[in-house]
Amino acid sequence: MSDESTPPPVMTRDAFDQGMARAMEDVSVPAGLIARLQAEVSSRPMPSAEEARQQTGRTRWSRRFLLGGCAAIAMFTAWSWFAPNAAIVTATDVQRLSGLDASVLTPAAPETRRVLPVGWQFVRGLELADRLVVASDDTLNAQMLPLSYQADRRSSRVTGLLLPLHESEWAAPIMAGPFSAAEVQYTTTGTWVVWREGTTVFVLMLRGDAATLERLQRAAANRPNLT
Amino acid sequence: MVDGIPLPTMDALIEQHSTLLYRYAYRLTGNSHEAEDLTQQAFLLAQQRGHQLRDIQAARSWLLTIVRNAFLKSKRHRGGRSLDTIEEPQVAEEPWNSPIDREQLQLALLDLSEEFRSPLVLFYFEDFSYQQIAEHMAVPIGTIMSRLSRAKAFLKKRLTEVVEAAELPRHTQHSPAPLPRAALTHG
Repeated sequence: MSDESTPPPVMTRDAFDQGMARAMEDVSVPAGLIARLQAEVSSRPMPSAEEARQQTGRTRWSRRFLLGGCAAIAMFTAWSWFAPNAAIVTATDVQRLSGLDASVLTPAAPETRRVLPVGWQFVRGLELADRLVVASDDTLNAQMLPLSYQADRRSSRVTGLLLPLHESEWAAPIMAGPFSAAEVQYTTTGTWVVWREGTTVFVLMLRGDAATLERLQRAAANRPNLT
Repeated sequence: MVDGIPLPTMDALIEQHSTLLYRYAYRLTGNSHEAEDLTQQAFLLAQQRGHQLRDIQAARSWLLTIVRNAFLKSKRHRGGRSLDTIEEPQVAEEPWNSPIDREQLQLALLDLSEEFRSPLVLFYFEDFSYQQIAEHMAVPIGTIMSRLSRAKAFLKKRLTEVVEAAELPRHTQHSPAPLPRAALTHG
């Protein structure tokens, strides 16, 4: 872990931080809380394996089948990526999705792979989450990558969501072209663009104005060429 | 095949983590009954979904995530101020030398939206790192650092105002004249 990602220990922080740490933990715990919790838990029946599967709606894989299942998972992922009956995403869906707060969405399974536009790891000021989040309802199941962007030190950091799709999942035909040339469009909470790289369509929704999104486009176009 | 978490382990989890979970839930809700309710929900869910916990060492983070998700699903978190659209408050960087009142802190916390409140609470609880908070909230680490910076500046400003308001009468008001003795008696 880098030094930047690790805050200083509480007792070496300044007086305000130390006071905050003390006050934050100064919460009276009700008498008998532990006993009540233990009694409540012990009064509930333990779920059987079958019940556990039904509750989660998923089959649980044991470790010894994991390696053997990887190939099947990869095939399934490829199939689902190209599945002809996948939900079609429209501009109206983008309006809905753009209003979502990534911090309240369910994290996707850790093994879900990130699909990134070319070179985005190297765009200055752009922070990409390690894990996708899922937004789903009756018509849509969108797996999106939370991100944030700060154009420069004087600018506010804005948040956003990147939605990668197979081209067959995007409602309208779209010509392949770079992110930097995509036309900025507007949502009720900010701006968005859509572009295609190969067979992947990317939708970027940003909680920022057009000028900020255009700066991100320029930053992506001017990223260091590390190839 | 492991089903739920066995009871002895659940008991141990409760003994080890219930205080932290309760305090976290209290700081999120500001209400002792709701905090206990959320804590109980978390352990009941943990019992049902114990098979999802592959590493008992990760229990603390896992349980905190359950508490937060239960809080978000309860819709108790609606409201509060989002600082995304507010400029960072300008606070004079003077050494802080006043005790922080836990109730005033709670009022200030509840004035923040959950996306700013949670990182703050986790930051001051048990030295969570930025990376741990980012993973807990499933947002980039830069976003967490930005939110923490803004939320801390906001809290500092609010608590400074509270301290100044408390000190104001002492500095600016004269002592009230003593009441006539008759006013202190009934009848």
